Amino acid sequence: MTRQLRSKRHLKHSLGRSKVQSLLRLTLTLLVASVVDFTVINILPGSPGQVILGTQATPQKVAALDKTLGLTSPIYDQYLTWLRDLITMKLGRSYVSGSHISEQITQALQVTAPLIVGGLIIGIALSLPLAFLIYLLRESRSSMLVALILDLGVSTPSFILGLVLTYIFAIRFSALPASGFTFWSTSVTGALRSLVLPSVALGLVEAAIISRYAKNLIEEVMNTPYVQAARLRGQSETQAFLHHGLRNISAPLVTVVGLEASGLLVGAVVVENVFGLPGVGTLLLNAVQNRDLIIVQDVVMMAVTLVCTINLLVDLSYKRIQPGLRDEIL
Amino acid sequence: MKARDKKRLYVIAILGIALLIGVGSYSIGRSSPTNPSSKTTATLGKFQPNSTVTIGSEVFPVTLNPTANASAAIDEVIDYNVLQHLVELDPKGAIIPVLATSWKVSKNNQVYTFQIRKGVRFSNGDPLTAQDVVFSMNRVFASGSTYPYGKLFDVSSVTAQGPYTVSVQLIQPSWEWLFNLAAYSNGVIIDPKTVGTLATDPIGTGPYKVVSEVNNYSITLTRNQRYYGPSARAKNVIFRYFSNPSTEDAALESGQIQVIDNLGTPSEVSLFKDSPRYKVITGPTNGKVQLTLNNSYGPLSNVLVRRAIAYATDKKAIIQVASGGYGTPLGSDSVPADPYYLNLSNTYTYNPTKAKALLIKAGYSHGFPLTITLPPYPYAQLAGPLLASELNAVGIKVKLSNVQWPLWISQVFEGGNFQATVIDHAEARDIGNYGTKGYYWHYSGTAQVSKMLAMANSAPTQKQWVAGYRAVLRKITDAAVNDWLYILPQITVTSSNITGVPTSGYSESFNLSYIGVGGKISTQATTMGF
Repeated sequence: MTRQLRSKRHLKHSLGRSKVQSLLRLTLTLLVASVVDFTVINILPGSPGQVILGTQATPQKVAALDKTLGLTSPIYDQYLTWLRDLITMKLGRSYVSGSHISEQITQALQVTAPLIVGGLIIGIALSLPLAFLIYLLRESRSSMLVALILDLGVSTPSFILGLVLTYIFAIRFSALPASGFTFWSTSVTGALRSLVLPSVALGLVEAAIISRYAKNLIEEVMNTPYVQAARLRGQSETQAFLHHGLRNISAPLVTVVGLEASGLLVGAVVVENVFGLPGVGTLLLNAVQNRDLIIVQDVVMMAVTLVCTINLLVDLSYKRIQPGLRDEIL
Repeated sequence: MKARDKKRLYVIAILGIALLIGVGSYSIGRSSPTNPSSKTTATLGKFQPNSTVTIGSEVFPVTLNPTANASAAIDEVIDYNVLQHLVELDPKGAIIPVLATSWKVSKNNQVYTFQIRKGVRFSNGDPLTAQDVVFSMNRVFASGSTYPYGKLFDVSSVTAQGPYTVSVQLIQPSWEWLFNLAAYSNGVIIDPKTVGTLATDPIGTGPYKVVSEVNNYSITLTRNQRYYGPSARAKNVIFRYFSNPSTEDAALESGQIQVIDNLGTPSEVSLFKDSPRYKVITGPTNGKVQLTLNNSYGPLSNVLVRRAIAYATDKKAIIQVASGGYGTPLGSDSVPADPYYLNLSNTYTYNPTKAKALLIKAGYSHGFPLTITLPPYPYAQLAGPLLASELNAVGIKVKLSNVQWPLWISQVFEGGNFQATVIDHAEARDIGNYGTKGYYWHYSGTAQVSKMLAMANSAPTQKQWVAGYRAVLRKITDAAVNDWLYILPQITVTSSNITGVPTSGYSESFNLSYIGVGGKISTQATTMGF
């Protein structure tokens, strides 16, 4: 009894310590990422002054503008200023447009956040039944067909899928808007309508990817002794999977979904482009084009923070889903 | 249900999904113009005074302040439509009075005196006075000015001679200054009280005013009720931005937008040109698409080699490939709207044999390696491979290198670190570049041209000025400084009931003065090129 208690206390203690460690690791990763982000973007050629003033401007004018923009101060100085502004969340203004960067990012997130969540929900909602279907069909001839469709799904870029969906649902049947976004403040249903096709385009491809992982996980779990036992108790395949299999594949599945989250970010950039959505991807692409370096740096940093945080959450979530794994990952 | 039945059910479900995909692809194959339900007649219909016209465009203007950034995307929306000049260009390229009703030129082409239009108000109600004009024009060349383009800086003083009279003294005589005032957005007249909000809410005297803006997405203009002229034909004009041309086309096909301002890739025309639901309007621009030659790069410093390259390129074929057959062959740095235009497109008619002979004469019988740097624009990407094969045919071993726009700016334009590149010189009357010291093509006759241009500008009559500029055109064409290919076309597509669209792109502004739904525009507007 006492031994058990002690080990529990020990576990609690080490859990707390591991959380601190994880957080430290996250901070360190972000710091390194910020250096890389800043360096890479600032060694890219092309002076913002020249892009702003055009090809007919005199070199003197360009140099003067670069100076006004603070681009001539020492590079470490620029980095430290930027870092300070990031930490204090005072993102300041874009020096190309003069608009508040935080406003621009908030606006873009209104599009991208629901898009990614929608894509993820559609992806997960479709992938599990699909993977289970494949499991049920294994050994039959039609499994080839499903595998083919899945391969097709994995290899179809979301922009092709987006164009197909646009043609069917927007041009042929005028059921949904072909592109663009109605902001939440204007109309909630309008916003949802404009996100349906993009989320589906993002989610279908995601579903194909996740279900390939899920397929293997399901096959494995359905061959375990405890599922066999459930079968012997008279449970059908579906019952056995839902009652005994699902929870056991959750942990590795969450890992896959977590890894895919960064993939979704990239996918969102493409989908936003195809559907003309003013999201984070569009913001980033336009900022790169306009040499709006601060916005590029900020958006990249935001994405890095997001992905790292998701990974941390995935790590932590294991322990909740499958307590048995605690010792392995600590 | 038996397990086998179940399996059969699954198979049926999968086949169903496959069928759906099949139907989808089929409906794409049959593009919507053949869709019977959406067929409309080509009639313009009745004029709709409360209409909203949505225009699809590709580059979102990073700010609405044309005095702080050279982006043509700003000028497209704001210039002429919201902020106006004393004089502007009509779509055909002629200088027309706008906020000035008349002007006088004196003292050897060095002093311009304008009569300012009376009864004009800014959209916020402030009246337009000579002081506003003086303020706006002084702001261009004031110290610390961030005005782009390098135009209209050649002014020594601007003074109000009365409540409605302003005179401008130039540093040196110029026959180009009035044109620059009309063509470049540096000439906008602003309300001094509203300088602080230029980036988001420019207040002007034009037919439209800005209502709202959604970053990277759209800009909404509405009729300016205080406009001094006939009120705008459309109640609202919305510019919507697409980074993907296919999405833009789909938006037009599904009716979300009514106009595509300029098709990025001319091949898209085939989607629209045979359908009665759309109108395709094409016209010239100031854009000179050229194979820029770095005159300081070994073989290219030899005039014979440069001429050989000009002979070796088939301009008509390049227009077919890069511009879908739209566009006019070019022979020098000038377009027909320029008063000094000369058609020199036949100076070096396509003749590979002659090109080879010239290369031999220049001592390059075995050719030489040449890297053509291509910016990411469709015309350059499309023209590049054809240019390469044409030049390869005469023995020049071409390598193509693709770069992003910022890299092009820094490496090619700022650094002059290139051998050849394909680029559209979009600015109007930019022959002055040939007299600009250190300009990226490193022409050896720069100093001479600079002198010739200055001489021409101080000529007492326009005729002599034109003659002087023509001499420059002949000189640079004779030296084959660059290989001028063709004039970039503007290709606008609209729904069939849209009227009053500008037919050419001689100004950066997409002139909205007459755009509307249905009805007919006046004959006067038609003669101006709407």
